[in-house]
Amino acid sequence: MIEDLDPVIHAPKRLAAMAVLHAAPSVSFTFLKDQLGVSDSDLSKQMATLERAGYVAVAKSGRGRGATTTYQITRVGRAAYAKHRAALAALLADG
Amino acid sequence: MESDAFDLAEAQRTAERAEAAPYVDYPPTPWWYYPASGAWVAAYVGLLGLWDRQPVLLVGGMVALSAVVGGWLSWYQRYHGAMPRPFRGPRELRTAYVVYVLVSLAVVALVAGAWQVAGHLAAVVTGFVVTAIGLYAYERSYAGAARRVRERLG
Repeated sequence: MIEDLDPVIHAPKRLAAMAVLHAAPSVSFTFLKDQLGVSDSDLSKQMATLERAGYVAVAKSGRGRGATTTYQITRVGRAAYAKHRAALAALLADG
Repeated sequence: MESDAFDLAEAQRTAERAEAAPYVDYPPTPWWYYPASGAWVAAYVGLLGLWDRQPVLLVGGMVALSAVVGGWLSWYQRYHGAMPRPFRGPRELRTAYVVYVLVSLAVVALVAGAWQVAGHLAAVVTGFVVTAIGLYAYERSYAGAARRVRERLG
């Protein structure tokens, strides 16, 4: 059962990021940073890990001060998150 | 490893809070949102009155109104930062969604009624007023539900 937990997602900051991305089609860097309460560099590091796993896609637009970075959950990421949440619920139900 | 120390129950709470965040952590609705939405509906109803006289203007107007919606959604996505999927989210929001559906039905019914009883111009005015007031009622309902979600999830 515990092996059903996805180690990439289970880390608290990445779990929160995946949960936000699961609920919204597109999420800005700023929103994620505020929600997770982390620094720019820490968020970039966490999101790079999720991106390497194929769980999120990143889009950048604009340049300079007006530049924005947004993230979207991928189909693989959505499936992985759903599986992780189901495993979490099952483990808690088993007590 | 970070996950070793991460309690499962705490993980569940973290996930629930974060899943709710796009729905309940949102910037203030600008004051002009209600009259602007009312004006959009009034323009839509106004265009409907042209269907048998000015079909080209009607189609052009509908395209322009659709572009306004697209522009609004694009702006709000940037303003909010994480616009949530519509009609989902925490259970507390269901009441607000019901209010939204009722407001939509009321707008259609009252505009149609006003058009039949008092004519096209009355329908345009009704569309503006009912939409602006109805959306305000929906926003109040949603804000209350969002507050209850934040209280529950801590």
